[in-house]
Amino acid sequence: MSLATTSAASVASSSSSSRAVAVSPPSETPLMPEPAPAIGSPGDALSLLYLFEDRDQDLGVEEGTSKIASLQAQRNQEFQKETQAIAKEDEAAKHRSFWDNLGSLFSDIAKVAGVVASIAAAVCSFGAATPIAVVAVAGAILSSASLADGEFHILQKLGVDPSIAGDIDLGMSLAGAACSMGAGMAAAGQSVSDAASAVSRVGSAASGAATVVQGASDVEAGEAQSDEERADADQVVAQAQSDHDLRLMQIVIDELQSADEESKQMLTTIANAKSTLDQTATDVAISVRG
Amino acid sequence: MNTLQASHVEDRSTPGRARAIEAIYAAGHHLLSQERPRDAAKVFRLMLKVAPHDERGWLGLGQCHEKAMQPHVACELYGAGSVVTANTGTASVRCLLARARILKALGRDPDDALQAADEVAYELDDEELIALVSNERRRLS
Repeated sequence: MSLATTSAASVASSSSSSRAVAVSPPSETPLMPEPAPAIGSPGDALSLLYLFEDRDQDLGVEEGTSKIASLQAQRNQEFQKETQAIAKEDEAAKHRSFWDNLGSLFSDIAKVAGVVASIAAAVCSFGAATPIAVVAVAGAILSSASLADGEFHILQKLGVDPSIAGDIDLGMSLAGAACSMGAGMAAAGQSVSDAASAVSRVGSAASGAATVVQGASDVEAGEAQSDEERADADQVVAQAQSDHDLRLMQIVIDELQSADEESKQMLTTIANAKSTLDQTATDVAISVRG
Repeated sequence: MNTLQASHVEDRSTPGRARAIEAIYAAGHHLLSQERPRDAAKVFRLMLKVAPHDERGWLGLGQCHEKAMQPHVACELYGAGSVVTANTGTASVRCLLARARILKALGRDPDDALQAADEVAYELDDEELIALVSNERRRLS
């Protein structure tokens, strides 16, 4: 059996078939390992799968509950940060000067750059802090959505040009920019942290440039303006992080709900398949005995 | 220990769980070999949730999308798989190679993915994987 060997080749077959070569290239080695010999027959696999699926319903709910609780706690923390940032901003706003408008344009640039940097920070922290299961959930969602809607449809829905998919990570749209932004880059030879650092540096550079220009007006506006700037940036970052967590939580909740339904359907399908298998075995035994 | 074994360590913490994962993989593999990629995809999606660090789930699901003529989605899944499995200490050489293949098939440059696979294979000092990458380099060049 040569699974994972032919499909990629078939996509490219039209371009390679015309090549005349004296020595044939090495054959494509299967990348998917064979299943363990102990579970060689589909019947065994179905039996075990049935048992597992039955138990996994409870397990899934338990794991999901703890995952949601963890995300909820994280969101609460972000909410507190956000509230503090808003309070700081309100305080700073009381001392705003007439010169604020001059710096507003550059302030906007700084905000955008701040968000870019916060996304990069989220990518960095995602790998270490966020349950890896969320990446798996995002992968599963991407898979089911694209099989239901078609590849190009889903790419379009996610706002990704199909011609550049593979360079830009779809997980970014799925899980609030953090999920697997590094995946494409890492798979292309860069580490996740390198990729995130690069984005962060761009963000910081833009942020720095805006700060320099805004400095001219800050001379007149005084420290109050920069205090507000910082508070504002804090709020944007906190908001971005908070939104990100909320999206992740929503994905997990949605997925758990549909997983429960899918789980029930799958149990029925597996039970039916197993019943057919058992019936076939009985029929064969009866016919052999005469 | 090769990459395949290394990537399974965490998910095989209990014998029952390990057997369940093997059963899921066997079922998905069987469905794929029967040319039923849509059914196999459901099984491999379950495998991702149960054993996200297991490279075989990502490879299997990516393969389903390749068979369904969705190479871009497969490419993303292989990319995510290589990162997720890296969480166990070693990136999946097979996911990286699968990504290299699909990039080549899409007319894109597979060199970076091959290079990453090469580095991981040498880091692991796994002769089988080194040979696999070397073979793939010659095939895709």
